[in-house]
Amino acid sequence: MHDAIVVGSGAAGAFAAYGLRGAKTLVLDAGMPLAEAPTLDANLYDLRKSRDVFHETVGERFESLHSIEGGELSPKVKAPLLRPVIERPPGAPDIISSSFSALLSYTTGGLANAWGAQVYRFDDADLRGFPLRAADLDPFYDEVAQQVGISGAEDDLARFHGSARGLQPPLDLAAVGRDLLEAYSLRADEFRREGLFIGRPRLAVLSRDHAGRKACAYENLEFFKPRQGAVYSPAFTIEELARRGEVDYAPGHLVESYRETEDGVEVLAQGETFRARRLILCLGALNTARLVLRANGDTESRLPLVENPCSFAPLISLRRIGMPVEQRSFYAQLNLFCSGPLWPEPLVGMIYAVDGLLRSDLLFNFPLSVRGCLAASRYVLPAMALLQLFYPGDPRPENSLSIDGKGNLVLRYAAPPPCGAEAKILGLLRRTGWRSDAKFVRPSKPGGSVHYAGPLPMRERPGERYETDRDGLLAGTKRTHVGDAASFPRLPAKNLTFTIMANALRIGRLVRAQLSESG
Amino acid sequence: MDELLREAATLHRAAFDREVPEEVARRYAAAHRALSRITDAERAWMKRALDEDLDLEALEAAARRDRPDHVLCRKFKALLYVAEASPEYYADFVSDEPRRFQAFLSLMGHGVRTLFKRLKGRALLRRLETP
Repeated sequence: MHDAIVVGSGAAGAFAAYGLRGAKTLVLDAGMPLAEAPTLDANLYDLRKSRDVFHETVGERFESLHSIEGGELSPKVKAPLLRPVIERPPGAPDIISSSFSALLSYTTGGLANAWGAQVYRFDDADLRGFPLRAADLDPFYDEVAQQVGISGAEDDLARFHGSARGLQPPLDLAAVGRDLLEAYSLRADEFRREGLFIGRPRLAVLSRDHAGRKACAYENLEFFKPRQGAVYSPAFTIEELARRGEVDYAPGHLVESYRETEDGVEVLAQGETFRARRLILCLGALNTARLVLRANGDTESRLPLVENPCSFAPLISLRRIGMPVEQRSFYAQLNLFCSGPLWPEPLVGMIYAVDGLLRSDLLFNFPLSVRGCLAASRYVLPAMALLQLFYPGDPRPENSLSIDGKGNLVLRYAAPPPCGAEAKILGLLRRTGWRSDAKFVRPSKPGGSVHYAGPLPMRERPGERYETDRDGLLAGTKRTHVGDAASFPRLPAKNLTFTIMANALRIGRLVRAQLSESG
Repeated sequence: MDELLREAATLHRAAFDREVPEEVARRYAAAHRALSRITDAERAWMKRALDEDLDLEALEAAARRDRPDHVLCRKFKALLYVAEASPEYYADFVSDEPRRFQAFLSLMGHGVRTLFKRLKGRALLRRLETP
């Protein structure tokens, strides 16, 4: 019998386990492996010039052609070596939905094997609706930052990012980022008055070597190479904890159910039963809620389903047309906050370089014949960037999660409200020389943000059966905690992953303290 | 398979103005494993366009504007994905040097060419829709 079982090894599972150090902890996980990529050993453009990269960029199963007939799929998980991040192992549940394209991961490290690595601290305004204050999370943010390694700067965005303790220097900007930031800096007061703030993102990407991991080499391989050491993956923490003997890591276990007993918890995974004194569920918001419903045999309840609506817009600088491709870059360039009269609470944007993408992913968007599109690929794409804008997400009665009789996830999602801030933001960005138009804005389909939360919301005084208290303890249970974003009652526009990590660490630490107290 | 290799050769000439390497043609044919939605009617449409030696660049330019899911658009996309992975196409997709003047000249030329191709393509599409 273990002291604690953590189910899942993603952002939440890794840090719940980290917080439990000192207790006898078992991490149960589907734990599908990601392939090594030894052949991606140089800069993408050097590789493309020197040899055939079909295996790594298109794939023997033609994975990269998915967007031709298969619909929208993030380029972070489209490439052949990253596709396993979202592949479903035998026995995993189906997702039944005509309106919500959810991504789940069963790999060690979970969806954070392909995350944007953006790091945000939630402030008190962001935690509206949570029974937590920023001060409750701050020490855990600091501890996670130390483990993860975060690069960034103290600049115009400091008011949104909060503490800069322990930051590594920011990553080098590519030409598109330098150009836009310089133009912003020249008229910064004007932009601030309008409520638009631009600066360097805080990223879980190393600009200096840290804890045995190498700094970013700017190889433009983010969309093709899994587990680059510079980009943090929770798998690093799980592997480190297992190597040190601080957790027992048991991959290959798809957890089917659990139940509380008189003296602990029993977890059922593919015919095996595991026992512990406490259980922390960290399967990701959707799968954790599914497991809770399954354990309760409840196919009737409809739980809240929350995500961040988001949209994309291309940006182009006429000054940069005909300039060479940026061979050395990291795709996340600049961070943008829109605050003030435009929207009731801050909106968050990221400006990405597109140098790391396959040209074929983009070039047919130009209104030219195929030969013209190839010319645009050579001359226009180096002058382009992509803005992704995130909106806050709140629970709505028409958006829900339930399970069917076979334990499959059933997701219902009405179209989110029209976004609407893009035209104003693009109009302001035009003053930097980066142009776009509202007609090019593409709202992401529901589920596309991959920021999910809400089904088991934390409350100061949980009343409903599927609510949790501020420490993640599920209402009506004594030993079952929710460690992931299933317990976030809503989502500010900021990326939630860093807060998932800090909150899971907080819960892990708390459970360990309770275990110690009870002997 | 022979039909797909013939397609590869014709589409490649339309996109790159040169003969298709054997490996790219083979991969293009194999890529149809990922294009599972192609119907018999679409196969027949492609065969007729090839048999009549029509201007595929013009047809695609017109189809992409009005019917972006057209079979010809999907096939051109597949060909370009496959080609992009090969080093001999690097210069077709990527510019390593600053070429401001050449860029504007080329893009203006392609703008005009696209207008012409689109008009021609619309006429060809209408003709192909006639039984």
